[in-house]
Amino acid sequence: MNEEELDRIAIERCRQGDLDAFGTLIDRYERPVFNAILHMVGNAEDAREICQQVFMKAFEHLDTYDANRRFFSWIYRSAINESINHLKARRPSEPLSDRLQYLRPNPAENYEEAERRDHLTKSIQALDENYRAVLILRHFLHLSYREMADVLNVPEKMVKSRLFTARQLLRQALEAKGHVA
Amino acid sequence: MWLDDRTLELIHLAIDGEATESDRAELDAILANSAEARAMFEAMRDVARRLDGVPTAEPPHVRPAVLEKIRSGVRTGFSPSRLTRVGPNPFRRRTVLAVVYAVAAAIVIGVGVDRLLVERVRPQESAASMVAPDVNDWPLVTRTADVTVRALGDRYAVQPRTGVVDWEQGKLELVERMGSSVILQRRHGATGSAMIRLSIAGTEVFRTPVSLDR
Repeated sequence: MNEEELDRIAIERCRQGDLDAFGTLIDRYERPVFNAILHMVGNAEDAREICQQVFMKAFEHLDTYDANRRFFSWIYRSAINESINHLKARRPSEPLSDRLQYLRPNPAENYEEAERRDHLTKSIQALDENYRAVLILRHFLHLSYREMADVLNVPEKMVKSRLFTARQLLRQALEAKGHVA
Repeated sequence: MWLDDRTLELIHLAIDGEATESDRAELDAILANSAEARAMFEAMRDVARRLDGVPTAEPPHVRPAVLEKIRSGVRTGFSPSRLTRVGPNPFRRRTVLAVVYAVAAAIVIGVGVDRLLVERVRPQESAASMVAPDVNDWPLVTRTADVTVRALGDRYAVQPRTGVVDWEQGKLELVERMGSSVILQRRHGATGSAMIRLSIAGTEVFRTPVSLDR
């Protein structure tokens, strides 16, 4: 049985009143949902709260969920939208450095690697949210163009255009800081 | 570095594994003849590799909190189609009256209060099916920035802003839990006072004794 079928069964059980079935959906999707939100908002505490909201809202709106669509598209879209709403509501004066609390250095990593990773994630954070979203969906959630288009509710052509531009902008940002060969 | 749109598209398609055989052949031909295209291909592949190498953060395990919130907010059953959220004034005055009348009737007809209350709550362990009395109308025992404690008869409602409520298990027993709030009841035969405590992030921030001889 593939994940899609497992999701469908779990949703059906939720609709029949089985709350534990919703728990299995949380278990299955918490990691990608949390990571998507984390890279969108750049703050672990905010990401945790938004992650909870996303699952709460998913439960509340299960009636409106179209069983012909894949659950992950639905939940990822919610994660991206909630993150964008959060970013819009956040005060623009908030310094970027305060938001990057999740960039804890890995002790096994050497200084140079840590610095390079740090700059990469900061550069992702500095991108426009539409570019950030496509990078996250593609490189952290490993979605195809078609799946990304479904999540973002935009044409596939636009997904490609945004993704290509995002990577080029990221490359320029890395070059500007001397983090590329 | 200037490259036409088609070349850029082919480069990204190849990096994402979405190039068709024909796309790939077209790209190979371009790469064979253009140093600029090769440099761009390598640059984009490097960016993609770096992105793919970003480690996954450990999720915060929101399942218990989410399910607890759902349980505490659902009144008529788990089915989302029948989902009713608990509002700002969640408890119904009618229910309080019903409980008061039931307690009074039990006393009159000689049924133990404990038994009555236990029977009222226990058959439906599911928080979703529980109906809470309007504790906001109960007399105030104490209130701080972190917690409000109210009492009615031998019951105590502890409503923290956040955190975990703890109590003397030997003297008080849990009747209902609504999110982080709890309704406690004096155990049969317990006298004197019982301690109620609140901890936030593992640190005790509040404690108060409540009188059991009411």
